[in-house]
Amino acid sequence: MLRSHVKLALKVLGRRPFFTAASLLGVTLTLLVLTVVAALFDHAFAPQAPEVRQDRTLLVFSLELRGDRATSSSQPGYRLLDRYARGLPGVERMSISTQIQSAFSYVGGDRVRSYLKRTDGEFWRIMAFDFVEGGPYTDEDVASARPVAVINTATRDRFFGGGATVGRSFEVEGQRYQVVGVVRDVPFLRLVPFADVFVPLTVAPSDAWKHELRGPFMGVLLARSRGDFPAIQSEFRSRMAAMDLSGTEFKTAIAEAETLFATVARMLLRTGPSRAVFGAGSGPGGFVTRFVTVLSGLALAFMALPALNLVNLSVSRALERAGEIGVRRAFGASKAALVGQFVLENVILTLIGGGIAFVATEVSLRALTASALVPYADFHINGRIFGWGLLFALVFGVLSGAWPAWRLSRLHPVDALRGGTR
Amino acid sequence: MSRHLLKMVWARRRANALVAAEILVSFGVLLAVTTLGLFYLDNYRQPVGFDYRDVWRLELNPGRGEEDGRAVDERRAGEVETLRQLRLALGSTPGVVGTAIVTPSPFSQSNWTRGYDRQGRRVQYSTASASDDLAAVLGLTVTRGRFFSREDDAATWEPVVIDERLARELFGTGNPLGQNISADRDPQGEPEMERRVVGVIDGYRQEGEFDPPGNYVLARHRPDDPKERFRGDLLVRVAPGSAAELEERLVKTARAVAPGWSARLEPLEAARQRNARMYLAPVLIVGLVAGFLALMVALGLSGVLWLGVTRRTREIGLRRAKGATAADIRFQVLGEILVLATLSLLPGVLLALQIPLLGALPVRGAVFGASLAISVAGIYLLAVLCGWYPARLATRVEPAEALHYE
Repeated sequence: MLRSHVKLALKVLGRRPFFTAASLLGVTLTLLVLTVVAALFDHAFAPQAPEVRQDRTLLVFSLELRGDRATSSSQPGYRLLDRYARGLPGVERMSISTQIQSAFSYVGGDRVRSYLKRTDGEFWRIMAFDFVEGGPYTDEDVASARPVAVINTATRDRFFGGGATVGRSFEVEGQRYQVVGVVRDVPFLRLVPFADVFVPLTVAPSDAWKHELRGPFMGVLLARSRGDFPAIQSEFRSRMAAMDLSGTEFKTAIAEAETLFATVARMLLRTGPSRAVFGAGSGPGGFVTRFVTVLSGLALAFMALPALNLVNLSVSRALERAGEIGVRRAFGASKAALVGQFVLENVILTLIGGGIAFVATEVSLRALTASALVPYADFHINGRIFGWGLLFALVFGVLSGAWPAWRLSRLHPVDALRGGTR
Repeated sequence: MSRHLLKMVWARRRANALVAAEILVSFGVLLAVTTLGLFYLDNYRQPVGFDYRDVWRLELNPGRGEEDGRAVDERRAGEVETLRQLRLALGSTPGVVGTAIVTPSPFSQSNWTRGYDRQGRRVQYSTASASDDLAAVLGLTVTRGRFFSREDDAATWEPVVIDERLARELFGTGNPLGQNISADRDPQGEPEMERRVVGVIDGYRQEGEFDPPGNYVLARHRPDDPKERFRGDLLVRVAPGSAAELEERLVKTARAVAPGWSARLEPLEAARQRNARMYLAPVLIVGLVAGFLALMVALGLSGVLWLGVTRRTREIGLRRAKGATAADIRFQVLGEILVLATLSLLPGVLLALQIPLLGALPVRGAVFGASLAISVAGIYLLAVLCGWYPARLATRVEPAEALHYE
């Protein structure tokens, strides 16, 4: 029974190839864009190696200093993190590392750019890096400022052309480092663990960084559990409020221990081209709400057009078949059977669109990965978002096909045969 | 005639409402995308104001703690001497044309803003501090007055150079030279040091072509004054065609002359490209998605119109039988869709006009006006394109066949 219905539906869809193609294109494009965006999102935020404990990680990533004359937005310095973010209650481990910085080397007359990150030993215990060869440097290496480095596989290939690398040395920023470990590439968009070259915090031309309030550092706090977050956050906030800023031109220091998502929301809304659109920052905490509002607003605005388009097409298609509905009513088909037929047709149409979209998304994500537009990217389809998108398409497709069919089926067969109402 | 078309559209308002909604939303999307695109194009066409080719940026970090306990004066005197020697060494390297200090430097994505605040008038501007040699190294065009020079050493005020845009905004057609642009008083209530305009430059867009034009002020930085803090960026103009060998040599020189400072060198061109990618990526993504949407809407509308024509075969047949020409029929179908488009555009344009009225316009008025015009034209074009085939189809209706139904 169902098989014949499906067969009939496919026949109907094949009769009007233009409409079927237009509807399919709508469903496919909407799902494609949604899923690609979701994949980018996941790529930056979803917990994945090496950030396997991301669900209980807080970051101190930015610092705002306010005074009467000037406001400074920057990253926290080592001294601030060392003095105010250590020993917070409920924190199991705490690591201080620098943000990535461009570092140049000259190899055979060419400039090679790597992203360099200085870290402490604790960093390697919070992050679960996948070591291809060797291992991390130790607390002792950091304490004695030994010029050792962990590099990712891309850097290994750039400098050494592959092969066993541990024990060999290379030059970055005019300093020679000995390789102690090689890790698998981490995507560029991962704020905390991404770098090409990791070296001990202490290997720097001078030790002035130890004394600076502002600087290119980040603090990573691993809480015992998520439940400890509020206590950690409020304690850190009160420590910041009590901070001694005498001798500087500033009066208040604002820094937060936040989740990765909140950190990124703050960064995106405060810097670059989006600053012009969304304006400078508001109070703490407002960023997440604003970011989510902006994102959902964009998503809704984007979905409105495909939804309307789909509804328009389905309604037209149903109205066109007023005559057919009239005939079937005249021969005794029930309303439910008629509506069911239209629903089934739309479901099949949407499912075919979904199938095409799935393949198209996979192809686009592969192409995006291969294009190296985002360094070291590896994009994957997010099944959950794809599912939601498909459901969205189904709801609109089904409602917009079933409603006019139901209206027509209520008409007297003779009126329906004449083409229904206007 | 158009009244008649209006009547026809109105008579089928229920079926048309959804189509009108789709046109309205499309108009909104088109307007947003066009505004963004034209905003970038408009910015791109304005002069950058400096020549970034063959200029390299040497980022130096003297590595000092903010409050590390050492005597500040002594440390800064040492820094001034190291910097002087470093610039001498770089300047005497073959292939180097000149060096200058500017902070924040071009394409650095770091922004300092200040405000002109006199007699209750507030004007925001971006600012950087620059050494005397910047005009030569970046090839700045001084349109009025002069750039900083040694003759400012004895000045009791702070010399500044402003761009034409700010000059126009603050002083209109008047002479900006010799004017004071500091605030009446600082937040503590004390009068600020005078900042006197000594020259006007053509323009200066720190972040390059995609940077929205803004007001800019260059303040004088004296590299030989220990009271002024050196913040890190040295620009080096090199002979055209210099390669990575010279880069390596300059970095080595810097490390030899200033051990303990970190030194990193990158051509401004590389930074410019990185910058451009950052600005262009969102535009490309938005453009791509908008293109997809346009294709979808075009197909959808054609489909709806096509079915509309098929459903009205009898009506069209009747008109043909009563002597209407093919051109009349085409005019009717296209006319109806154009009337429908106009009806949907009316609220759209009215809504769009509220944006400048509310003062919430983030772009120049001319850019917005042009975008509005392009979007309206775009919607009409879309309507005609989508209506074209259905209109042709309608002309093929044979009266006899159509009337046969009745």
